[in-house]
Amino acid sequence: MNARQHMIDAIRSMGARMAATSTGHGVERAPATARTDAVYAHGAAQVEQALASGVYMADFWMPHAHRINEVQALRARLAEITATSLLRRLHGDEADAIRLRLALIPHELVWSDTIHNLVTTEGKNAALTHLLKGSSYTASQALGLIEDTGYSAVSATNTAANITASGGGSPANGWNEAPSATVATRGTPSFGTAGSGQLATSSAVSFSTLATDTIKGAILLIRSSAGVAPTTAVGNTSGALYSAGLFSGGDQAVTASGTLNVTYTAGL
Amino acid sequence: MALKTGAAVRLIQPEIRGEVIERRISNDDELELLVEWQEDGQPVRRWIDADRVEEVAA
Repeated sequence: MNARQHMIDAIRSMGARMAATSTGHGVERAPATARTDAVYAHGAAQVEQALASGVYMADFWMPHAHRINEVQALRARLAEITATSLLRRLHGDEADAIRLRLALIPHELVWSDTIHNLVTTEGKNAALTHLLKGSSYTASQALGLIEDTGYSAVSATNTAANITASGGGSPANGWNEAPSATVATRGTPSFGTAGSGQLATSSAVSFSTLATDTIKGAILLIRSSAGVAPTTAVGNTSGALYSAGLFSGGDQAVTASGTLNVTYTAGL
Repeated sequence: MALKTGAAVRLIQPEIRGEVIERRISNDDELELLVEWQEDGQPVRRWIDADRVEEVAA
């Protein structure tokens, strides 16, 4: 008997002993010929972890005091001429001119803060569904603000369906979205190019603040697992809540005529 | 009728038709359009690169 044959016999002998002992520990065995399919199941040691994370950065700007009235007048005119589809068609050039003029009015930074968010379970489920099963997915997001009224906590169990913006005392999510009296609508983020496992907004979402309010943080909504898109209407419950988070530096105040710029970077 | 194996098919993709609400230059100096369209009676908005859309008859 040569060395190769010795090795083959040894392996067969070892396999027989392992089979004899392992059945006593509950390992299922089936004759190779009885197998018609291949099955792979991962064990705990084989799970590769992917942590969903995100960071919001927010800056609040106010115009110089002597130009607040001018900003208010320009914003009012802009709202007036962009209220309907027909008005937008008729006054498109004027709207562009007003936006440019607003952008040229000097503003001062009042405060700046960051939010390290939590990604909700509903958001993870929607992201996984569209990432791994999507065939006709059209991205759609909306970014809103959390206010202090009725606040108790943000949680991974928060959902879009439970969003409230009425300023109630016991909101289902543990927080209320900042109402339309504070910001007319949610913002619409746009995203740049993903790199190093991160994807950031290509431009800040800009909120024109309409009243004095205390802002605690921000939320991001995406298309739901069922494919329903979020809308920019404050308090709307369509879509899926992807993330929610609070300012690192505590509550932040906004006032009328200000501009709150928010960026978001998602990571996996 | 159920499609049989071997049948030639194409994926059904929704067509998005909407209105340009706003324009801006992104941080990457690209022109972006805020487009609004309707889904299930709800307005949906998204910033889209200008070179990814074309004008159609209203």
